[in-house]
Amino acid sequence: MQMDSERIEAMLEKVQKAPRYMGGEMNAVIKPWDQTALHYGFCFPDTYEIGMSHLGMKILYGLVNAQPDWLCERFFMPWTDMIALMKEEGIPLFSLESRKALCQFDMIGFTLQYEMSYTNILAMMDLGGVTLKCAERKRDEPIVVAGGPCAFNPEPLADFVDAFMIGDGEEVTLDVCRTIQAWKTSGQDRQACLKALAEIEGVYVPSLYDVTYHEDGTIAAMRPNCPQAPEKVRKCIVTDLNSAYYPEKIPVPFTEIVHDRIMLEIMRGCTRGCRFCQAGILYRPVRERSLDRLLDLACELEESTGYEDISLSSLSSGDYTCLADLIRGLMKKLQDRRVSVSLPSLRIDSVLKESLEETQKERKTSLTFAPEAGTQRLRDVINKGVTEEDLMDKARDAFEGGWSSVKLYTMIGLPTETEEDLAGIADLGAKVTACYFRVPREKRAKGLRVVVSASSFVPKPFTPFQWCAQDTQSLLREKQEIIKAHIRNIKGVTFNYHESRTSFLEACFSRGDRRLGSVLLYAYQHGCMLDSWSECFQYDVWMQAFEACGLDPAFYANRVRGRDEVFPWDVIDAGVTRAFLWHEWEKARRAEVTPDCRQGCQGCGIQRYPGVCQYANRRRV
Amino acid sequence: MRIGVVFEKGERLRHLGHLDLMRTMQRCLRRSGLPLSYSKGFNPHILLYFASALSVGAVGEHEIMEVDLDRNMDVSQFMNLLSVSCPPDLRILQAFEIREGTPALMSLVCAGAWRMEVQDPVSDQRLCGQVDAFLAQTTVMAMRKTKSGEKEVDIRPSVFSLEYREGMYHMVLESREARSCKPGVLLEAMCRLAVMDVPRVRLWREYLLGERQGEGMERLERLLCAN
Ligand code: SF4
Repeated sequence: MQMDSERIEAMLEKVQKAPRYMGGEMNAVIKPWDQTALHYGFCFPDTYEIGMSHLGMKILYGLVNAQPDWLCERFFMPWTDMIALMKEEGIPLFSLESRKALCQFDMIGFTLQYEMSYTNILAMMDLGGVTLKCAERKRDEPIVVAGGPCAFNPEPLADFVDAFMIGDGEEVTLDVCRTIQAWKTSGQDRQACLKALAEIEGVYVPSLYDVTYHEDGTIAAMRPNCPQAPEKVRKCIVTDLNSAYYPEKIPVPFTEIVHDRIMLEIMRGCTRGCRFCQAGILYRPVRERSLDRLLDLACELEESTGYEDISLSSLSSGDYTCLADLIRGLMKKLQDRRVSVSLPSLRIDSVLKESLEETQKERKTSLTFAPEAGTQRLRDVINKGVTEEDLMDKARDAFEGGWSSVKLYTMIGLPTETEEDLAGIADLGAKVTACYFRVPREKRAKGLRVVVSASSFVPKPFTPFQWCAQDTQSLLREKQEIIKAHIRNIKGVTFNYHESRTSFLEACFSRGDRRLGSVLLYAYQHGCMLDSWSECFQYDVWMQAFEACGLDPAFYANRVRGRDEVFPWDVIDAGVTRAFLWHEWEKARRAEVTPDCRQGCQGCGIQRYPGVCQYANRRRV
Repeated sequence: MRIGVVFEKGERLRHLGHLDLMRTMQRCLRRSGLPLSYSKGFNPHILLYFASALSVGAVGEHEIMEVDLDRNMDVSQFMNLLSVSCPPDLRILQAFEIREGTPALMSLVCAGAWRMEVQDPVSDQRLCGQVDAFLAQTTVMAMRKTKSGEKEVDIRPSVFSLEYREGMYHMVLESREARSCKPGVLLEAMCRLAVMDVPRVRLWREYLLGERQGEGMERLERLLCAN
């Protein structure tokens, strides 16, 4: 299929935000199609502006294209106006680089960042001429793979994705590409390819497993149905980030995207062990990039992109061992080039006052704190090792340092939550406000703005809360009202909360099983897509889909799960053991905290793999 | 040192707006490692001036900008460094020194030379028959967007030339702060005359024209070089 450039041009004249579909950016990689042996279509199942802001995409795009023999091109989810035009014109989803249709690639890879992007995966395949169901795909259609955090519970996508890559993608991606390249010319059937993929460590091929169910709907067993498929698929861990691939050139969009800057991943993983946080478990153990490597990368990237802004990325940047040196080093190296350095996810207990002062030289935006819960008791339950005193100290530092705008991130619906915890959230807002007024008028910036935002808690696989029920939507709404009533009386504080319906669906899919594939398909076929965009989200259609498929969403979201229940994601070994997670859940119920790994190994399970975790097996203090 | 740059905003970048183009060009300049001058103040930015904003949808074949440097350098070296720092569809065609004391580029621009293609043949047929009728008018009123809203103006004097040749409309349109006529405004006015809907068109700005006091119009890059 040769794409008609003229017709694409004609479509671009009619759509909004044409640069989304234009390609041709600086550092986009153009390779000769006919002279490359493997064609990889990298798909981000959301819009260009979101996908291009994603660091993982840039790493994998660079990585595959760094292999001389392979080509990797980008696909994003088109907006509704473009989809309508493409259908009208009969133009399939095309890559940004050489404008080839999705179905022309040997393999296509989706990155799974959030559950609400799942219908976009179907939409993109459908637009790209790829058969939606794995079982119906023909020999010459692409092999469909997926990775990213949501791949740790791959089951809801089992009908549509041929193989999942679990864990760090830098190495396994290359193995998967090699296998597919070899298969491509072998003449063997798809099944042969899938079996070969299943033999790679870190690859899960859902069709090679059979699932049986109990009468109550829970899973009885999930067993491999061929010798190539392992009982458990162990996640991939890159042990040394310094030698791991990191791009020195990244595509620079013409148009503004969400994170329009250089992102420097300073470390992976987190030692803190917050019990609600899935990333904290999935990315264990913590691994740092060296100061020298980071400074080199920063300079390379600055030179190759011309970006005027650089941000440090990790789960907990404040914990980076030489953060102050890093920031100083970056400022020194990049000052002449007028690059500003920003720290995005500051934890309230980890910021050096000094580094605050250093970053503010460049600019002052609003500071974000994440106390997560309103009382010390509940913060102990979730193991968020932050005290009110910490928060107030940091808030005071920030106000004295010239900030006047503060955001407080919290969650509602956490396990064991009471009305006192909800009142506590409002209270934090009040105390932060008071803290501002205690700073002498001449020392503080004008225009106080405190935003308290509450999201609805979604229990996630591989966390100590994986057994918990999510609060029902009506309960969550009641809780929002309670906080609202408390905050109404506090001057200078505004309250934001998220739509609980989206969280409900997230809860269904994050811990869902493969039967949800039918719900997904139904929802997509009845018009659901771009679900994370409120203007496109169609809750009623989703509920219809559950009904039509004979499944109860509450079974997935609002049910307390038994200690020994077989979970759909049990087939994945995320490094951390189930026993550890259960133990953590028991401690949570007693509001007992677990110390940071840096104060001693907690025996999470990662220590089973020698040499992987730098803190493992150290003596406890 | 002030440097004038002639560049092409290529076919693929047709849909890029002026702000996106400016941001892109700034990043190209930053990548180039050239000794750029920055503005003073809290939020320093590169001293970069476009002679004339080019609208979304139009290709620019010889667009012109000025870049200010902190020190003197060889213009061919400048051109090499900048060329390798630009994406494929943004081509640097020429660079030259702008003599000190030359007024701001924007104030020198007086017109643009355009090429326009009407997409569908039926509309094209009808429209090309209107060229002579249009030129025969002595006044043609049209709405012009200004900073303070819309205003009805006579665009006829701003249409310096208009010609239909080999399937293309060639025109030179005035482009000054005080008076100007955009191709879209001309197209609408012609369609009104022909009593037809405004068809889809493609636009190329071929080059910019400048004017030195008392002398005639000349291509802006030539005028700047000769200065
Ligand atoms: S092995 Fe020990 S130190 Fe390492 S992440 Fe697990 S609990 Fe923490």
